[in-house]
Amino acid sequence: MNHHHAMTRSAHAVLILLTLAAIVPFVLLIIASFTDNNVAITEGFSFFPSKWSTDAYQYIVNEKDTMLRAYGITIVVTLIGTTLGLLISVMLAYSLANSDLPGRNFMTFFVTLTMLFNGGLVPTYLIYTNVFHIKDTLAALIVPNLLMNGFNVILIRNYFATGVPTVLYEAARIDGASEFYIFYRIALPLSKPILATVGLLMGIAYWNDWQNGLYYLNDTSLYSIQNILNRINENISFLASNSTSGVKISDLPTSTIRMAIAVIGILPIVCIYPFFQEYFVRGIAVGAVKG
Amino acid sequence: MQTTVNTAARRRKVLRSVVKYWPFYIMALPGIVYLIINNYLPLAGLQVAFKRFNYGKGIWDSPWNGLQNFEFLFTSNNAWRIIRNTLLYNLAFIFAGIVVGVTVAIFLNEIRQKRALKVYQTGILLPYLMSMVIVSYLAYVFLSPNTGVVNGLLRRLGSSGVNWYSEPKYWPFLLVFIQLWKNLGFNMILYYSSIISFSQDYYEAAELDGATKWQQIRNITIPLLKPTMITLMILQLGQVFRSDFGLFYQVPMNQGALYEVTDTIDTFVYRALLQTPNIGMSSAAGFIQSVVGFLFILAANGVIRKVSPESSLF
Amino acid sequence: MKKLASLLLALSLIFGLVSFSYAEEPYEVVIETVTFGAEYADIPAIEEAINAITVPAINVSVKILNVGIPEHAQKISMMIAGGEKIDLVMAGLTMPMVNMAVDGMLLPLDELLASQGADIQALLGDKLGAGKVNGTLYAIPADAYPAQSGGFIYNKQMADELGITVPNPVTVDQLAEIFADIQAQKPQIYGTCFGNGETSNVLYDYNLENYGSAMYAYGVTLNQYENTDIVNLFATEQFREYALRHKDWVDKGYVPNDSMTSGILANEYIASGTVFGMTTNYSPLEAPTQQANYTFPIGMAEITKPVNSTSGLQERMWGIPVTCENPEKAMAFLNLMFANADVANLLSNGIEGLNYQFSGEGIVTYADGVDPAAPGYARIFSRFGDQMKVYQWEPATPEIYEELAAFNENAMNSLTLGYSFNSENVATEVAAVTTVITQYLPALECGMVDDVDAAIATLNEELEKAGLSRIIEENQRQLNEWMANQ
Repeated sequence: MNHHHAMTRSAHAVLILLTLAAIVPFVLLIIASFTDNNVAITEGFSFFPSKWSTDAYQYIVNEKDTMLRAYGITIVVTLIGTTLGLLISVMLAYSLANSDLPGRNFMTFFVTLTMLFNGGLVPTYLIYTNVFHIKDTLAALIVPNLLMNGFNVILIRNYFATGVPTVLYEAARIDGASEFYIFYRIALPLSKPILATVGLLMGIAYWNDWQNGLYYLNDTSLYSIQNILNRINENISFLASNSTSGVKISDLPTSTIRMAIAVIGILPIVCIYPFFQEYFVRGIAVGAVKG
Repeated sequence: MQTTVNTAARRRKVLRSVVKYWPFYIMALPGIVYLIINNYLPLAGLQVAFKRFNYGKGIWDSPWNGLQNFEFLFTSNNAWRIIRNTLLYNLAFIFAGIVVGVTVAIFLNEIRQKRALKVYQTGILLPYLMSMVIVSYLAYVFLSPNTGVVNGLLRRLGSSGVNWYSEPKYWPFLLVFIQLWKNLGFNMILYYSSIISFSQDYYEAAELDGATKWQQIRNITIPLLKPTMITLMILQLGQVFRSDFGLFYQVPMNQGALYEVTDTIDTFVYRALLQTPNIGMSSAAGFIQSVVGFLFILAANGVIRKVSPESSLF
Repeated sequence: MKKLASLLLALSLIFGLVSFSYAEEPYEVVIETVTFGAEYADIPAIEEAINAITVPAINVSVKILNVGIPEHAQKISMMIAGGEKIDLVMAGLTMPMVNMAVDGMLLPLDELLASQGADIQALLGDKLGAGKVNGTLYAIPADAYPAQSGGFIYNKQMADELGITVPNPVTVDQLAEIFADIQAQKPQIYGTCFGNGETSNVLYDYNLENYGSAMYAYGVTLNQYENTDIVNLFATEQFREYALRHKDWVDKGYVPNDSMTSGILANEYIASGTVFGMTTNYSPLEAPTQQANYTFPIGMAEITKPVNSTSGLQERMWGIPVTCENPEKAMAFLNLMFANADVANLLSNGIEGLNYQFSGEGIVTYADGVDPAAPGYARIFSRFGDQMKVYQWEPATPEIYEELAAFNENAMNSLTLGYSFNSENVATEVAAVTTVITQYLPALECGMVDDVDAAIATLNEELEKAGLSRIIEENQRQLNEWMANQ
């Protein structure tokens, strides 16, 4: 048993190192966001700034009403988008994983091709605005580009193909269960770990997206939090590089604001992520039972 | 005669199985419809790569202009440089991503303490959540010639420090390192979610046989992970002619002195069209990136189908 | 779609759903204002106030489309490609006007101007030539007083403390002496800063016409008020002098040596008090607008001579996109905006009492209760109407109008005023040349090369391979043709 302990110990050692390598820059990010802007300009960012300040956050808090609304929109969009996207992805992936399905290879090819070729922004925009009229609706933040992608479908398909033994389906079929029942009661529960993984990736993509809002919304009251943060960031860089409005450059946290914005954008995911991990842990339990 | 009977019989058989599998087609339908709308219909826009695009006339009625939109990529004497950089970095990213991702996922699988597991996973995912712009600022804190952490350490050790942003020789390593660091959380989670789905039976049996941990990893975990590794590799090969703009443009702070090792197809196209936006030319570049990726995927899939048919993508 | 719409209209007429006065409903002109993208709560009230003037006058109502500048180019081109109705766009600001015209985004305006634009013609006169591409008018200059020169902006308070006087006009050699003086007195303060080198400052030190390429990819004409030869800037003695000077200043420590990578802009350094000043645009409007950015008093001095040039006029122009449904009405509105001070002021400054109040003759400041950080309306990048009739903001003084008029009267006209270069035929060369310039120019701008002459030689060698001479040839050919037709 001794070598097992050695293995675990070295695993801990490596993971602690990697976690530090990831967390230290994040701590630096937080420190940078609390650094005095003039100190940042004259001395650069450092782990031990000579003067602290909350200016960057105060500047962002100026827009707190807009931000609360935007947070709400982001949460709704992320929840609906991830749920809907997971559902259609997992159904397609489950079909593709069935090696007896006629046309399966062609369908996989069909899915893979979408990861390679894209027609560009303008044609996509034309289809969504002229045919589906999604401009200035919530659907504009959910449907274009983010709802499903080939990569995620292939990932889930792979999981079904390798991770879930087909004997389980066969047994159910012999018992006379319908295919929909088998999908819902057997395949879905067994695929929780991959759904948690893909759901996390989709959720992050929705959370971080600002392009859909930019192109498909003229009505800024539907802006998501990333649109607002992006706007604050761009405002401030333009305020700094152009002399047009009555705001003084020296009053603006030009350097530190990006850091504060990044912190505000990342923190909610960091808080939610541990809950997602429950699925991974449950995945282990399922794996143990099914064997 | 014989063949017609055979084809007819095969056709009947195919038809029967199509009927038999109808629920699967129903389940696939919503996803397929979405891909048609979101990905296939806009492909009509690819023709812009071969056209002199005119907004008044639109995509269909703009005049054709042959391969003129492609010329700017090849007339430049930097064509070789940007192709070489794009390809080599991607191959390095794919290789390093698999090796490090799998290793870390295996280590993670050894951790049984729930709290430690959470801390490691959340921590290692953090860089994946940061935008490349932020990464570029953090990198600058470390690499700044005057105030940087690294040069500070070097000076303490008696060296005069390195002018990081004007010395190309360090950047191939730095870029691979930063890319790995940023995407480790992502790679790790993908492989980890595979590993935890493996049946414990194999490991219990191996343990009864007195197999060491290392033997279990080599003979059970890695072979079981192979299909996932192959799939991810094939999919990434499809992106082999594309590059993360932020990584190659913002992280090296867009320094001309570093272009020899940082200029890729995407940064080149961005710079070329900086002053005069041209939809035709940017579509042309995207078209080439897609076609090369497509060829790579076909080739990789073909090879895999020969070697281990069950792992091939299609 | 059009057929369906007319069918529906016919049906509704038959059934009496729409009264017969339908044809006389005011036409809604969608006009964009380019901003940072912030929401402005007072836009509906301003639209209403404008409509009260424009509906009786020309039967046009107005809708203000607020577009943020970072997404402006992408968003406007997608809206035009998508057939969405916009009637007046700001050309030149984020997309070169000439490219918008040859890419088919804009309608030709010659006939519209003749029938609807009497006031525009009276106000702009010769300057309208800057809106022509291959002899056809595609855009109207938005600013009737566009003369500019290169100048130097500096921290006046610091100058006073150190006993430094910056003469006006000032030469670059005098600037070098001033920087040396500052260094002697305050070694921790830099004389000037070049930013990251991505935007070139050559045009602040020398009078030149760049034909709309801020990176000099189309060739330049030096002293454009007396010369029409187009040459490669990087092969001129002036550029060599410029690059050597910047290197010299870096070597002497007048300039922060990490500005290429630090991500800190030159004006941020100035605002923080670590840098004395920088070269920039100079015009009478410049000093009051710049002053608003700094907590200390600033001074400005002129370096080059003021000139009216095509590229200056093309920075802001009004165009009518191909998706406009009634170009006559759009032009009629544009004309009214230049003629009617109230319309121009409503679009520029908002409503008196709600958004602004007077603090001097023709000078305004925020109305009581307005939070400058979140105003109900603000004009940022657009220009509306005749600037002589538009109230200017504090700290400008009532004299600003005279100064602006005098500055523009004294400005020399570029010999190429009214000529624009269409780079369509050399698009491949332009793309290749631009990649070369973006690679080598920033380091030369910032004085961060070891051997200036060697670096310039490499740059020119690469430019030659990328086809710069073909671009210059084409530009000169078009210019000669244009001159022959004058």
